[in-house]
Amino acid sequence: MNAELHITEVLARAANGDATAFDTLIPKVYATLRRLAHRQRAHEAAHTLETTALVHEAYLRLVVQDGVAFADRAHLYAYLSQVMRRVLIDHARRKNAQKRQAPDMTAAETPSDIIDVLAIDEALTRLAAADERLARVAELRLFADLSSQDIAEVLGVNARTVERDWLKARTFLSACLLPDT
Amino acid sequence: MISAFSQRWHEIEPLIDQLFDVPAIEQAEWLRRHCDDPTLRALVTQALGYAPGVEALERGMEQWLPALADVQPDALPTISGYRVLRFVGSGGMASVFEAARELPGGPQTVALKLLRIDVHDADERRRFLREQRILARLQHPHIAQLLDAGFSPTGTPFLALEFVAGEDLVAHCALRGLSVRERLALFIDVCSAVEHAHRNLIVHRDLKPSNVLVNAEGCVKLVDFGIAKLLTGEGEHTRTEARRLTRSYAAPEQFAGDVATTAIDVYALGVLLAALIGDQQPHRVDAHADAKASVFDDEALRRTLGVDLHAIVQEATRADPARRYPSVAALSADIQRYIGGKPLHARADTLAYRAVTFAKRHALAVSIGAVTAMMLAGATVAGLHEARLARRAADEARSQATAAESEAHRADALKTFLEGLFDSSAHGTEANETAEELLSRGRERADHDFATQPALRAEILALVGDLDRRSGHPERAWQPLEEAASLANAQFGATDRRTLHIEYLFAKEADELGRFREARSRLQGAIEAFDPGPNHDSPEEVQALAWLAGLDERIGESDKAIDIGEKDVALARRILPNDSEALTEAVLNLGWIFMDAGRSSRAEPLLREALARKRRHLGARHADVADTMAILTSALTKLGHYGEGEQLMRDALDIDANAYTHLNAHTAWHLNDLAIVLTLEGRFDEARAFYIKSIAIDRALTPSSESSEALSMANVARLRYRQGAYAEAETGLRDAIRRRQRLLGVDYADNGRSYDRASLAQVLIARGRFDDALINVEGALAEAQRLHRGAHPDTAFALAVEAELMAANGKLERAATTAGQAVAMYAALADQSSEKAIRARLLYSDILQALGRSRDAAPYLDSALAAASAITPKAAALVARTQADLARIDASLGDLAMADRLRVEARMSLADIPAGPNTDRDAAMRLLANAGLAAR
Repeated sequence: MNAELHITEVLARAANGDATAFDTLIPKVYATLRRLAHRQRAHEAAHTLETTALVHEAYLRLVVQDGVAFADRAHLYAYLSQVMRRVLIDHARRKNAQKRQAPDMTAAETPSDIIDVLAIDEALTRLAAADERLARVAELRLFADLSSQDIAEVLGVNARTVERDWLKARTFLSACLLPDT
Repeated sequence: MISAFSQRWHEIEPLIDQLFDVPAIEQAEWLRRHCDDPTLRALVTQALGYAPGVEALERGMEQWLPALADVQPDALPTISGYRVLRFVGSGGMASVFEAARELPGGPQTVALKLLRIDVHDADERRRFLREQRILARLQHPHIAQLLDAGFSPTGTPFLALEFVAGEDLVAHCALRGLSVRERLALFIDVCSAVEHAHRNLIVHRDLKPSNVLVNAEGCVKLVDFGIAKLLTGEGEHTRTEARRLTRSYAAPEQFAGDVATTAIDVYALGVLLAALIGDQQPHRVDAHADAKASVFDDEALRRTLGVDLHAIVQEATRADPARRYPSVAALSADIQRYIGGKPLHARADTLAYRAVTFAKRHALAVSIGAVTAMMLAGATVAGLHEARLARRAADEARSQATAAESEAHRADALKTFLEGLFDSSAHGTEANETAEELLSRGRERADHDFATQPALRAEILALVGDLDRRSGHPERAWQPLEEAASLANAQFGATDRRTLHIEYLFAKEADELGRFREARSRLQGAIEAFDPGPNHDSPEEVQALAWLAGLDERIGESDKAIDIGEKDVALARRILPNDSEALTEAVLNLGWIFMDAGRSSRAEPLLREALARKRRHLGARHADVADTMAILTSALTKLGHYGEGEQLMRDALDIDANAYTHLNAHTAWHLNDLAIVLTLEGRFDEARAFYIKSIAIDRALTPSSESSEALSMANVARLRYRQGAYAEAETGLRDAIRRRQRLLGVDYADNGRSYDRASLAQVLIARGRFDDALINVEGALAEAQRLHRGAHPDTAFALAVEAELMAANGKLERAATTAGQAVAMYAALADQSSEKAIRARLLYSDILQALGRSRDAAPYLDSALAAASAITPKAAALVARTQADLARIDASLGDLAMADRLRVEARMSLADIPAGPNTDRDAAMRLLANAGLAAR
């Protein structure tokens, strides 16, 4: 239950259906991400953040540090997307908590064209209930930033199916994001 | 929309699957042809047409990452004298940067805060800088120090603060999974910082998690002290502030635009506590919400915090500021009580006076630390009581339509006054930041601005006086309160609620200054108003009566105290529910009064009842239960129940060991009381060891415990006297008396100076220093008689010592008269069993024997032996001595058989006396040896 828990144990627990297993990694991932992002900004302020590289580096560091060997890239990505989803949700919850405490302080900070991670999370959960595979495609795309080819590899389907699944998933999710009228 | 969509997904999916292959322009037509359900068509059309959603989903993760990494595109500002290193964060009021302040000794890392206002007006700038200087003087280990302030080239005000690298308090605790105790310890640090600021008359105004940081060393640092105030210009004042407030942490009166008082920080601390311990976020309070409604889900809060902490949060966050904790110190004290397992003042309607009264008495051997703690507790209770008075006053005002308007006018005037008082910018002077100066200005303004409005002047003077008293200056409070009281009497009449309230405040003042008689008469007046008023037979009346009874006992009016105390208990039993803590306190109070008055047999059942009740309310292992055990023990020892007393004190110490994590005055007090019992049992070595432990704790707690240390030292000296170490006893007592005189001053009279001096006289008699003894015993007797009108144990003891001195001087007739008075006084107190009462009879009979009046002496010795024999466990030394003495009398009266039997018994008793020096054993052996010589 402590922060020193190794990824292998986390995976084993996750495999056994412990839904909270990944949560124990969040602080670690979060800290690594932040460090990397800060470093990047300090040294390459002029450049745009290369999101995928940044995130993948974070995971690789974590993995290397824990000495875990994944059976294949697919497993790593599958794992990665789930942790990332939790990281972002955790971050969003925290932000929301801050907003509740200080509405005036943060009101201007959220541009309206950014979608709420928590809303996405809820929509993904609904989608998973309706169609498990669509949800996994969406998760890998949104939270691991994977290409259709990579996703196809992870799921063992062809890339065209992934493209079509993503269109369906995107429709489902954006329907969930529709503002109430 | 969402649920309709997901419920019909199995119908929607095939449709969109095909639609993806249809050109966008033809999709509507295709849909009309392939789907005849208009609802379904609408769902599909809407979902496909929601471009922003699609776009955002296509953007994917990159849109969230910048937030995660706190990317801040703003350019870094330029401030001369600083090297701005990086952007740290921003809020509605300011942007914060980490910067290096260029100082001659090398750079200093600071948090540079650029406020989101531009100040161009010269007066505004001066005001800003003046406020900043006031804030810069605010130095406390838990406040991020304000180092510098000024203006950027564009006129933006900036502040340079001690840089705190760390998370906010709530996140810090959550991330580290700190225990409740650890969280509370940090919270107490927060309170100490806010308290410190309040003492400097600086109100934070915007306490919330993001302003309470924890640095790398785990040390709490408050930031942004008073900055909310820096941001408010004079004209737009409160409205601006209200707009900038952190809504859920802002007290209701802040929304109303009321003047900032310390009560708003108390409120915010309550909200913070809930967030910290219960992870309960306050509701978002929007502009239309009822500002007086609770910001919490009360049920959830109670569940997550538990009853005690919930009560504390409630007390701190009450909508009515007058009903909140009167100070941050009171809030903090309640948290400490919670940690220490003590009853909370947020929960208990305890009796304010009890703290002062029972602690002040030597009979209880209460340490000064305990006195202080209880006086603080008393202040809280008083605050609650006053709040109740105020609430009631408000109710009355509401019920009187005509009075309402003038009440509003009055409230306005008071508000304006307070506003002026706290708003230093309204005055030309800058030297107005200490409480002392502020209150003195308050007094001045009361004189000038309200000279022609005596009614308001009375209330303002009372307010200023009460603030003075509460801020630890009762000596300054007397004059304004006295003037307020006389104005109120003239303006409102003696029975008006405002007058009574002021009289009540005045009574507190008098009590605190030790002017008990004055306090009593003021309180009496306030209480008489209960009779005709709506509060007749109320819990408030129970409390006030108890305070009155306690005051009567303190001024030596034991009979009156008992009379009022009994009425109070009767009233409490009649009107309060059986599980009321106020009823328990009333019972404990009366028990204490009986014991203090020397009527232990009356005290015992009440104290037993109080102990049982406390155990029921608080659980058997509660620290407050241990204190009650100590009070019961003092009564039990007077009744000869040493064994039970010893066990109770050992249990009390056991409770202490679990209830307190640190050295504390209660444990020292209980160790002292255990030693007293052991001394009575003749187990001098054990007793001395416990006194030494008690003194060691007192020394660790110095200076607050110096008086209690002196008290234990006096007790050791008394023990040494019983062991015949007279020189040491004299040195010890003199030292203790000197210390206590220095520490207590005039209050020493109420803290057993008579008893100490009589004890010293007794030692001096044993040392043959009769003149010195005479001065002391006469002083002791005069003091006891002055203090206590009727019979009292202190008077009886002084009489006995005086008789002993007369006998030593050979003035046997006078000695007999005086000893007879002492014996009669104990009888009047129904005290046959206390050690001192037994010894008084021994002395009296010895004197009578010396006068050749053996037949007169015999009944006193018989009675002394009966009482000494009834002591459990057996008081062997005292019994042996009495038996040997009685044998002598019986022999002189010719009853030789009885004398022989008593001598055999005396010898057997001698064998039971614990080893070590003991003057009672010496006396018994001397008597037996003399008898042997006489027989030969």
